Amino acid sequence: MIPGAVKTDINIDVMNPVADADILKDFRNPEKSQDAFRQLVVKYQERLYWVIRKIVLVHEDADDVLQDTMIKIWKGLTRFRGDAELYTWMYRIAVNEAISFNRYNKLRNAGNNRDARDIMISKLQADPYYDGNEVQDKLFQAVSQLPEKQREVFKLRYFSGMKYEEMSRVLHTSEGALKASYYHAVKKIKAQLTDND
Amino acid sequence: MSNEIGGEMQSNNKHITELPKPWKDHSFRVPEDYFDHLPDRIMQHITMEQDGVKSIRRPVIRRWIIRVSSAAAILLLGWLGVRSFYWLPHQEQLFQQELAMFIDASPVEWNEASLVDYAVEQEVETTTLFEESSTNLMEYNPDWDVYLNAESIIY
Repeated sequence: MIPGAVKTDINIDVMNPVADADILKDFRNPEKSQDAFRQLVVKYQERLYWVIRKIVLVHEDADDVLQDTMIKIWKGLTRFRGDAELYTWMYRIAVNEAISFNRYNKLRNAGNNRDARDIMISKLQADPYYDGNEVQDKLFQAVSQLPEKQREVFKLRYFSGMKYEEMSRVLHTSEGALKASYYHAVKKIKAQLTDND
Repeated sequence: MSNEIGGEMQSNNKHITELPKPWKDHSFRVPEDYFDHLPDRIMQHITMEQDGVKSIRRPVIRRWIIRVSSAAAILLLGWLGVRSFYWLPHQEQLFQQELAMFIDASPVEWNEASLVDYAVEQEVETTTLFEESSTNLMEYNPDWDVYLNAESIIY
């Protein structure tokens, strides 16, 4: 148990997770809200982690963003009215947080002499939890060279498999514009991979 | 034209499968037991948030806030310094030039008599004027025609 963590007596069965409706019902009860939220975290942490990791790439960053995401979910869960599936709602928060993190990082590195793209690649290569081979390194190198918008769209579409419709809602951009961005991104990446060969 | 682009885009969507897919090759890993400990860490964080303890995971943001605030304070102090040593005297000089131009252009002759007439017209006691303003009046440059000394007001 991590020092300071909230102790709980509940026994969470990962193989048979509690239904979302039951978690939400318990969450609204102040006496059970902590345990209910823990169940929610256990149920969805892995799926949300991988959504985030495919956008921010580095484990340490993904860990940071996931925790921010969970705190936002905690704060917003009382206002969740069930208009969408619970996971869809959490997924959107996770994607937004990950994209915001990337933009924040870009601003933070703006004053550095080194190119932000080089920083992204060197961070990825320094990540002990990334075992990319040469081809994958080249792919990430090519992705890092893309303009910001195309890079985000490419990551969401290619790595996360997000539908344009969903991406349009998250990025507040028309589907047509997203498809065009993706098209240009693919073209540039393929050209760069071909040049490197 | 748009059909051509659309066709090319579809073609690209087909070719995209040729690109490597790192996540399917398990090139991304997580530390051992990461997901076992994560709920504890998240709940710890939430407890801290509930207790009103500020997050300590992004010291960089706070560091930048401090840097920006410090820079703003230094700029403000610098500006005030420049204003005190350079800007204010310059402004005073400009004011004096403007005042001189105004008096030159004024149809009224600015001498002692006109000031007393004005004071009487405004029902201001010249003695009161003297008492209240003598200090200031005495500070005026006696060489300037436009300013009066205390003696000239009370006759």
